[in-house]
Amino acid sequence: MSQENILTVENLAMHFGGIKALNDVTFDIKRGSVSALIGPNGAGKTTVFNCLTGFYKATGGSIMLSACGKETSIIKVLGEPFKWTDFISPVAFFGRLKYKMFGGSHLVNRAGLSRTFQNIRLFKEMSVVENLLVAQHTRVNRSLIAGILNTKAYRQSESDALERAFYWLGVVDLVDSANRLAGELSYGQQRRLEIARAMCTNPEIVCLDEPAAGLNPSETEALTKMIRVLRDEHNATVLLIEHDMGMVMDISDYIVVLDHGVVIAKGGPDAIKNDPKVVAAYLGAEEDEEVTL
Amino acid sequence: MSQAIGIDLKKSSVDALIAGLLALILFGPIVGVLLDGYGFKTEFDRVAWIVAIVAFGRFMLSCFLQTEKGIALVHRFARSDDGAIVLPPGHKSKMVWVIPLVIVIGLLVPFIASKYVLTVVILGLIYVLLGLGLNIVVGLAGLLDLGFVGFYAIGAYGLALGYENLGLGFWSMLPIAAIMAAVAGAILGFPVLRMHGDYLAIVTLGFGEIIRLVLINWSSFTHGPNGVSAPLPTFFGLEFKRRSSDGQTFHEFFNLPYDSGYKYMFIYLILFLVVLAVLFIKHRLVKMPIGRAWEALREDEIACRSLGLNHVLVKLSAFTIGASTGGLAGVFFATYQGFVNPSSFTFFESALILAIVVLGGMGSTLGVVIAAFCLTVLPEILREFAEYRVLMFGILMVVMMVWKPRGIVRVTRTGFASRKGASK
Repeated sequence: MSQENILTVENLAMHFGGIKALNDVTFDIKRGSVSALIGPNGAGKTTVFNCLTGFYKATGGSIMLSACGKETSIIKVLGEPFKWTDFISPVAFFGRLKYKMFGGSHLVNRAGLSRTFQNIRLFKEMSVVENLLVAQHTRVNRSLIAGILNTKAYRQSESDALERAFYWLGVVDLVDSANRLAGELSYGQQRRLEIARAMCTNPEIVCLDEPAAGLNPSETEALTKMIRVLRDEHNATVLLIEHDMGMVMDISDYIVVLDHGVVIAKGGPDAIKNDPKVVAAYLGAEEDEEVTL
Repeated sequence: MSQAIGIDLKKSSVDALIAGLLALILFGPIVGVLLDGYGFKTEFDRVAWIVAIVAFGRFMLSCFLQTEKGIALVHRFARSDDGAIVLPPGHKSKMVWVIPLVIVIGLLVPFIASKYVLTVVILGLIYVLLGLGLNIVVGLAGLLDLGFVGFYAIGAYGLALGYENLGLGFWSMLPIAAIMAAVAGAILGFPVLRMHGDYLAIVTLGFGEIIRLVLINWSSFTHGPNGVSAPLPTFFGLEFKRRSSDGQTFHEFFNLPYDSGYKYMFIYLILFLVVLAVLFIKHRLVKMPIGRAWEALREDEIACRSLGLNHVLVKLSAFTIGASTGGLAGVFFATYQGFVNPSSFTFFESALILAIVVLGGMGSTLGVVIAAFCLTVLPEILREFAEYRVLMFGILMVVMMVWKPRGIVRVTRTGFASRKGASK
């Protein structure tokens, strides 16, 4: 792809009734980078994530994802309300109707963006391998007849899916637990499995919502290594929300700081560390102390 | 029974007393007061017997549970949190020989059993079909459907009305009814699938009632509460009637004396083959991508969407495939009864089918088959206690939910052998 930015967010706004969770959030994510979204509690980080991944329909602004060889407007695929111009042009009308009826956050994933969740959402009653097989749903042979007759093409596609599943289990070091129920795994293992599951959908950008929450220091270190592997060996762009500043400063190439629904700073880790606005947002500033740049 | 073994007689006596009192409260008015015209008679001796039996039984049970054997038994039942287990890779069940045995016995049943037994088994198989259909919707996809009887009614009325209006027989209506029920499932599904849990249950409950009320009130088409007669299946065009207005009948063609049992034998054999086919398809579906998607949807819908699964289509496919199985069951019900009317499709039927799925174990095929036979064949065996049937049904449900809340048969999942793995 010629374009340098995989994700372009412009003037993103998200209002819940009268509450303005996000006002005018603008940032770009470079292809092949590890970027972090940080900010104090309630700053709107998870809201940004939910807008990016299509779980919230943004009130305003635009999110453009350029992955899998095409440009996708994330707000459009969720289905927008009709405008009066649609009733003149049938093409625009049916385009909008299509997304209104069949659109949704699954299209965001198919456009090449996958995510994990802050509170782990695994399929707990299914085995670890099955979790990874479900993630490959759009890539396997889904024909009912081929499956019922167990044709050669179907067996081949299932076998490929298993190969990929075991490959990712190897990456996150869970091969020994392949046939356990996902709900039985320990917390750290569940976190790793969720990342493997997100990677199984073959995304170009993966959004990790607090991947290190609840991990001990050595597990966090292993996670840091794994995120580097994702970037270096799998050409994945990583965007993460994290509170563990040590880890954020260690792996990020680019950091976006949010506070009260506004971007207060963005740049490399060193610039952010010394930014007085960021320090003020995290530690608080005196009422009369004028914070200037 | 002495203190040495650790039996606390005082505790057992208290247990017995409490159980006796409860039995007195419960059975006192039911059994003790007998209506006699405008007055009533009191029958204390019957109550006394029942209470005495209950109290004695509770006393013995309490004593038994304090022995070593009893404690072990309690421990076995106390592990109620037995979720699914994952089988080791390449697991071969030792019970595989049961399948051919069941098939052989199943094929021999019509030639051994009496006509009455055969009709009971047919009813059991119809409920197996219904249970399998609902098991896809409730057990696998986790969509609580309280109006499943609607699809059953569509299948049954499809056969009866298709014969009356279009002259279509059993064989042509069998696939058409399945498709009709599937279409009805899709029509119901599309607007309501954005909701889940309790809301979905209420809407589907309404759907079942709508179908029944339409059948009752649209009397110019459905003949209302009077019902419609349904045709019997034909054996390569030969009918199973005593005499036929056109062509030969089955017994004339084969030079057999007329016997009304032949038609049940024939229905049974077709039904048995259909059930086997549905069981096989279900067995495959669970292992296929679509089956995995259903289960994933039951576990977590939001995660499914984040993985690129179109949740509307996944739910819709569960609804249509489940509904088409219900439609098939309806066709067999209509042809077996020879007559359908709306009173066969009440909410109680939906509840019974749901009970089959819950008792059998959500998502377990074997469990559903066993539960369907238990809940349809047992009431027939216990005909003498017909008045207490619903009471027993309730007790069974309570006991099952306390001891085995996950159903009779534990859900097992296939294990996968470890592989080398490739990234693309």
